Amino acid sequence: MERGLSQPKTGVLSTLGWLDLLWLLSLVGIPTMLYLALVWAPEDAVMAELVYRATGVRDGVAQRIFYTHVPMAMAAYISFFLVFLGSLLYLWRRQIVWDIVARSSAEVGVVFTTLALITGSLWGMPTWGAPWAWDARLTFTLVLWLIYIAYLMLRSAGGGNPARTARYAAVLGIVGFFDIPLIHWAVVIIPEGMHPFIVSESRASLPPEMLFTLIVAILTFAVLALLVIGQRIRLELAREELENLQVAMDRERSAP
Amino acid sequence: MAGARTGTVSAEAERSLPSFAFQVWILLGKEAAIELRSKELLLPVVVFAIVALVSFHFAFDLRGDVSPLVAPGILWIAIFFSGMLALGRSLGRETERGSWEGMLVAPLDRGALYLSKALATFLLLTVLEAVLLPVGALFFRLPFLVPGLFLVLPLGTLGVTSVGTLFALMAANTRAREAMLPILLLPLLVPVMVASVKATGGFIDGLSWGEVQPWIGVLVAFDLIFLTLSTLLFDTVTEE
Repeated sequence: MERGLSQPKTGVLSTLGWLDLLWLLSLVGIPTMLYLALVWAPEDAVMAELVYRATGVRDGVAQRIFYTHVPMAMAAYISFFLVFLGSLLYLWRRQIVWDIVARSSAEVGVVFTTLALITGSLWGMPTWGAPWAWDARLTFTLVLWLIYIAYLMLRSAGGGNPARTARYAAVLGIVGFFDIPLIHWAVVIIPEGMHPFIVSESRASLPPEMLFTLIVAILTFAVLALLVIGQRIRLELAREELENLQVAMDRERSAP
Repeated sequence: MAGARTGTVSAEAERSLPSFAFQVWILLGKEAAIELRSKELLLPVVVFAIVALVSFHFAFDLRGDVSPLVAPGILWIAIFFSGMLALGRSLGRETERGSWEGMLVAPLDRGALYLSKALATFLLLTVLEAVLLPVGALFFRLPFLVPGLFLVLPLGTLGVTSVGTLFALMAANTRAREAMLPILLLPLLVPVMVASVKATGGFIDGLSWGEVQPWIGVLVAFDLIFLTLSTLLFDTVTEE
């Protein structure tokens, strides 16, 4: 029996009062971000040019997907960092709450990665004329997606030993996180270094309105990701507590 | 964690234990003795790799000009899949026969246990490559025997066995173990796959060192990071 399995609560995460604040920030942030991204930010000339080259129609509106695509990818990175942190703390402290943090973050991270992949493909249709073109950054995101899908599968294939499953998952959570920079290096940095003109074309400096919209969107999605992860953690902790109560009740009932 | 390292040995007995390097050496000797007597891993792995090469011939029709383009990929796919087969069997047979529990109660450093398993699989795959290269060169009429390959092959193979040994043990203890190992391993090994294939292709094409060097860098970094990390984490995977 591992330590901590029967005592799910720790002082830090049992109250989760900050969830209310995240709710409030999301309620304000999402409409603001949508207004900025869809109405306020100017239409992109570079995108219009790219679309013109691919389709013959000058239309920069597809670039606006960038204000959700990039923040979703960022939200996924934040989630995967929390998987790493939760995994590390679980192996160190052996408190189930850290395993719950890791597993909740992995689920949310996979959802945001999936959304980033979908929005990336949608953006690709007018830009490359195809939904998938093995673009370096999208490929990188796809590999991350596969790693954390494997993480979730490892958890479900664990069998009847929850403590061992938690340990195995934590190992993958740590190894996977250390792998991310290497994947980025092999899939994005070195190949882009070999074709420098692509970098200068797509990474032109953003006009201030676009940059502002992007920053608001990134913050909003980060808050949203933390909110969903927090809710998930709260749910799991409640479930854990319910199980403990049921065990205690059964014990009381069976006692004479 | 550190207390659980060496089973139930007293402090005195622990002090008289052989050094870490010597433990690795003894365990490696054990792996070699088993393999030399049974050929239980080497034979199936070599035959599997040759069957894979022949299948690639039918799948890609490799007689024409395309061989140099796809050859590095074929070589590394064969090594990766043979490697996973070897890792799966090497750790799987230990847990199936209960010999693994014996090793865990033995007064050994878990890190030594990991390194010996990783090195044994590395040596096994090196023997496999010694067969695979000439056969591949013969089948596909390719210049596989360029000097640079003797750098890429060990680096890439070490990458496969470094994380591979860690996850093979985990997969051996889950349901659907045969499916679990590639699902866990292949995405993590993407940097090794990319870098090994690119470097192999670069050496075959006779590119300059400067063009191949970034890929060698990826492989060296991967090997160093994951050999260290896996040695540290193996303790966690083996505790029961």
